[in-house]
Amino acid sequence: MRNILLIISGLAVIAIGCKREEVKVYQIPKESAPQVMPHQTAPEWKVTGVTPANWEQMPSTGMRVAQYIVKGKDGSQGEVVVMPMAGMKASKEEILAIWRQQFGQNVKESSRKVKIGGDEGELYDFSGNQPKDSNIPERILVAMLFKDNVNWFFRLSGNNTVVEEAQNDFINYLNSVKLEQSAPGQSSEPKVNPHQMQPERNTTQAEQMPVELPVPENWKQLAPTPMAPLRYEVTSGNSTALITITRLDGDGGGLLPNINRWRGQIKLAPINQADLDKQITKIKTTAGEAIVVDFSGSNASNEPTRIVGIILPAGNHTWFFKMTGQDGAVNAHKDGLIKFVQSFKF
Amino acid sequence: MRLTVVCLALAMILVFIGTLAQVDKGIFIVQKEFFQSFIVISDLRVFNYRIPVIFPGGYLIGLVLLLNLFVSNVMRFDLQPKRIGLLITHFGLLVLLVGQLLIDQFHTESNMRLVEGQSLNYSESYNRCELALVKISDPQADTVVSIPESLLEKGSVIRNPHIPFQVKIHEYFPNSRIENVSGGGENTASTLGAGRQLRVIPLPPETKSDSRNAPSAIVEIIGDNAPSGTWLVSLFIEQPQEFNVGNEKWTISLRPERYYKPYFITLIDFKHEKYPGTDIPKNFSSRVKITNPQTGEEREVLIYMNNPLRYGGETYYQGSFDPNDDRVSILQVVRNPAWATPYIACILVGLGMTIHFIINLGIFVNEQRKK
Repeated sequence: MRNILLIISGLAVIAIGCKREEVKVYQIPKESAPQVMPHQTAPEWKVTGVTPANWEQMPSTGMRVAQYIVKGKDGSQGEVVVMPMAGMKASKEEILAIWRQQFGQNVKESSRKVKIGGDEGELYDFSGNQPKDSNIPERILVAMLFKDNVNWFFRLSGNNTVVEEAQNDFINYLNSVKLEQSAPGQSSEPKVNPHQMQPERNTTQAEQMPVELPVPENWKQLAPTPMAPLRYEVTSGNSTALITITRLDGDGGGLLPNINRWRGQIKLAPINQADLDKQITKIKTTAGEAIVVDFSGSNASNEPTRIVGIILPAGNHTWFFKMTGQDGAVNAHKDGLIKFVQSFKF
Repeated sequence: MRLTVVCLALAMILVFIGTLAQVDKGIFIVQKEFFQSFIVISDLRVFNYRIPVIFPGGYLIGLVLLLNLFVSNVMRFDLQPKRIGLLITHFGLLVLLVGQLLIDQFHTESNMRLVEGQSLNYSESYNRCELALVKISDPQADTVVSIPESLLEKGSVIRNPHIPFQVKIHEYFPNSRIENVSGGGENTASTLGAGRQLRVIPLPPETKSDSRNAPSAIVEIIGDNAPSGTWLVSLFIEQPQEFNVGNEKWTISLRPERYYKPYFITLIDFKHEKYPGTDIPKNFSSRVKITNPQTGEEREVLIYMNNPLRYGGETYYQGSFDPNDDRVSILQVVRNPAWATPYIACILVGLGMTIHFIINLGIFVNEQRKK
């Protein structure tokens, strides 16, 4: 009897210990396009134009509704990118300043009129002496068109040789380009969520946010949660803080209720509008004026906790940038957060 | 009895060191290393010192407890009326231990994200991923070959009779992010597909329970008529990438592990109320329609807080919502075939102890009367 029990025991151990995940094969019904009702705030664009044989179309990514790799005769590569920015408040000069900024003081610049589809736009030509290992291309041609409340950017970039070779093709492409708006979910092109976007499929916010977030290198990206799709951790010594970026429609529930909600999170009493006005500071950003608040309290475990929050109304949305954590980390990264918001390309 | 006490003491120590390790390693790694293993071979960080840990794992302690209980009851089996309560109590404990083992092996939790009007026949895992190869050229149905993340090791080659090619894993990053590489070039992650304009930045594994890893891998499809080159697959690349092998059209993607169901859930309406002026949820509910082609069933159900839908062996809870899209409902899907075992075990233990108490009370009263 004892031996039988020992054998059963041994088999039970082996049965559990040998469990190993295996490749699974199954059949499913054909997956059709998801039957989703149209979303009122997320239009999709279809951009077509005449392209030469050495342009290879790539999947659209985030704000890039069309992009191509341009192959030069010497083997080097450039790229053509098309980006629409709807409802953008920044002026043309402010946008041009961003391009110029990339080239520093050695920028060479010229501009002329160009036909984009059936409309007239402007073509800017920037070049500079970039170091070989720089991420900034040697030359950029940017065509700009403002049409139906959308700012369109067509950018050809690469080294001098590639851009020079592709210049005429780029002009032809601009002349022939067609910009069509399609219903959401109907695009057949693969879409990629690159560069610091979350893997989260549980939110559509990421797709509507700018793709290229210039976050400082010492911000460690964290996986998103439904309430905060963009999250970063910052540290200083042994102290840490969490940065969340959220965008809400309209005023996001109002300034004072949100501030008081944050205060409640660190066990501070609510304040009224008059008190709030005394405690806020204002900063300038590319999208307008933002307000900064800085409170110190304690968290649920009664540990000292500080919140630095920046609230920025931009267009039909309000952005919330919030850093919560221990004083050391918040203090060390407060300036970085403010600079990030000021450099944020909306 | 002595062995049981030793096992319980070891279990307490295991829970203690597992809890300490959780701070550093995160709940999922600790679950796997400490509790779902026979031997713990790990380390523990205490005041910036790493202390190696070699200790009996959760499976070993649980199995020894289970077998000790089972063997001692069989060896000392004695069906006397006054022992019936003890036997029932011990049987309840056996049910509890076996039930926990079954739950550990078969319990799954996933989520189903639905936009109003959308139908889905699968839910997705929170923390597990799969490399999915799908043959889409068959007009009748798609064939899915799901390779679990645990098999994605650098240098490994995956073969399966259902795929006419081999998959070689060149690189595997358990957690990563990806970046655009302007203009492509030599620094890109792969030579084919979306990875020609992207590069992978490896990241340390997530340790927080509300965070998930975002794995990426660079793979090669090897076979006759297969495209020559490497592909980047990543949780960040949402759309599957297509390739042809001979006349067959396939897609490849790294995605959250999917649990397919033989029925569809359609979200008809999602209601989400917040307390005025805040983002704090007050009440939220999802009206869904179940369509089961196998049974011809088609009916509407309202899921709301504390009122889940139980269907097809799974329970659908109103899990979450998308704060930025009021048409989106996120349902938590729980499959737990052994859900009843803790209840049965508690009833048995309670019943056994009650019977044992009553019998002993009777004996005591009788003895008192005789005196």
